[in-house]
Amino acid sequence: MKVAQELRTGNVVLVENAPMVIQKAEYNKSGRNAAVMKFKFRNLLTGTNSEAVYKTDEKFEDIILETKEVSYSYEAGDMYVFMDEEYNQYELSKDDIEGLLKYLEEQMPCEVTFYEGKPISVTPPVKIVREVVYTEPAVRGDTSGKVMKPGRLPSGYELQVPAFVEIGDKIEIDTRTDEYVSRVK
Amino acid sequence: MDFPRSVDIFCRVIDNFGDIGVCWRLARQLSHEYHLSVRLFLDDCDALKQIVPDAFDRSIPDLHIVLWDDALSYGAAADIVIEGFACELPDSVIQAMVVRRKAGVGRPSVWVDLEYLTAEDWALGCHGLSSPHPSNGLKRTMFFPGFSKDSGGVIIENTLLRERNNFQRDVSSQNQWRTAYKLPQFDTNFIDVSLFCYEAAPVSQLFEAFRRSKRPVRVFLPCLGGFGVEKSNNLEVYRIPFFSQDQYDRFLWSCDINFVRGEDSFVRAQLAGRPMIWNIYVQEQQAHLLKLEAFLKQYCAVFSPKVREGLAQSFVLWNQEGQTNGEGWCDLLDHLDLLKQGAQCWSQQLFDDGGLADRLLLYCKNL
Repeated sequence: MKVAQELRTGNVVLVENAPMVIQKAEYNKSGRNAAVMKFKFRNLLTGTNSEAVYKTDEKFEDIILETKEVSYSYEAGDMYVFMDEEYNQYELSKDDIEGLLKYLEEQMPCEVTFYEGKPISVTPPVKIVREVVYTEPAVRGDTSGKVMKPGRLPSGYELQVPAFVEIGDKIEIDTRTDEYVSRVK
Repeated sequence: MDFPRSVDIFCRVIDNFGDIGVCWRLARQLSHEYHLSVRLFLDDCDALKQIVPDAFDRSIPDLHIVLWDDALSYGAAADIVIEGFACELPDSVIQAMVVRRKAGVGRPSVWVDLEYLTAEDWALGCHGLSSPHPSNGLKRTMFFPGFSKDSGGVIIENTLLRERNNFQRDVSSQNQWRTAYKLPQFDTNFIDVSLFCYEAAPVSQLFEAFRRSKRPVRVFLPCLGGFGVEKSNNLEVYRIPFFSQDQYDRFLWSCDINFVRGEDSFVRAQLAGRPMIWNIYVQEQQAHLLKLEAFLKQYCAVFSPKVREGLAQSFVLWNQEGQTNGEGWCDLLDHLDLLKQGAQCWSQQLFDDGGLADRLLLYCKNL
């Protein structure tokens, strides 16, 4: 069993006895609201897509499927190609890897998951390092790390970073929650 | 057969009066105005007594207050089961909903997780999503109150606008009410301010600024303990007892600016159609500031450009711990007429968009 917060893009879980692959996982928390995970699922039996939202501590039965270590190779039209150590190539659609696109870089190590012999999803590493290509200058005097501001990654994706982070800094990100973890020196 | 006919609302009081304030209002409205059979399950009856002293005495047809522990022997599941603020329903309630679904007689219960109010975009993306439970076959919907048409809205009683307008147009009614609660009479020479905030709010900086105000300011501060008045330069501070929920509305309607906190008083101040400043519940990692920013983006947009920036800055100042800069409060008072116009416009927008109960019941009917 895994709780919702531990689930990531590419994981497969049972929902009402149907195997569902998570195509996108978003963590949200603010104010007094309960932290929630919003998932975009694809039902592996019917092929239909759906969205659902859960509290982060909701328990799911996860299904262990065959996986392989791969790295991202290139984009070919609407497909994204990943390659394993034996140079076998696996093509996945944009929908299959939607939650991963914001972090995708050439040679990025990932894990591809198979269902009945077909690649169905790709899971990124839990922690990745990316450069901040744009962020507003820090407000003078605040070095506590409590005040946050938007920081943009090379893909255009924006996440909240502490005020002390500057353009060109490399930051570690938790891909499960899409949250800043630390600045990398 | 009409659906829904029965509603169960579950509420755990975490702290203060926000959770119970919202759940009580909703329970009362669903019973009063929609004629539904409502049960309100509560783990802390004392909190309710403080804001609705006669809640247990007065007879409201079809509204029953039930102690939380009595939910252990919960019988048949209601048509709508509302889990207030992710309070975790007792297992007995979930099992009753499973039994009802499996029985296949009539519609399954609609399980709604009523969340905290927020203007953030992510909440709109989650609002109203009916999500299958991983294993028990039920579906749960997260319902996010908010300020836009696509959100869950805010609680608005059907007669509220009429009552408010009648009260605000009639100075003698206001003065009668003030007399009953030992407040000074309405006087256009004064700016009347209601103040309800958390301990960390920079009250002394606010008072310092009010002392320097061109127009004298009367601050009414509901607090525990008896009456008391302190005067210093152009500021008079009245310590007054807490109001019940209904009387608190009249209090807000009769003041020129309302400083409010949390969720329930925050919404009521907006519906009062008077300028207000919000003291938001503080969260770890300053998460509340994102929530504040999202609200200000919507709220300030209806105000005149002349006051928009100053108003937003006042909200931010009021929510910064250790804030020592009291400048800006007097500027705010100098533009009271423009602020009142904006506040009226915002409240009218909320009334025009319709209330939470309407949206909730429509959602449940159409599910």
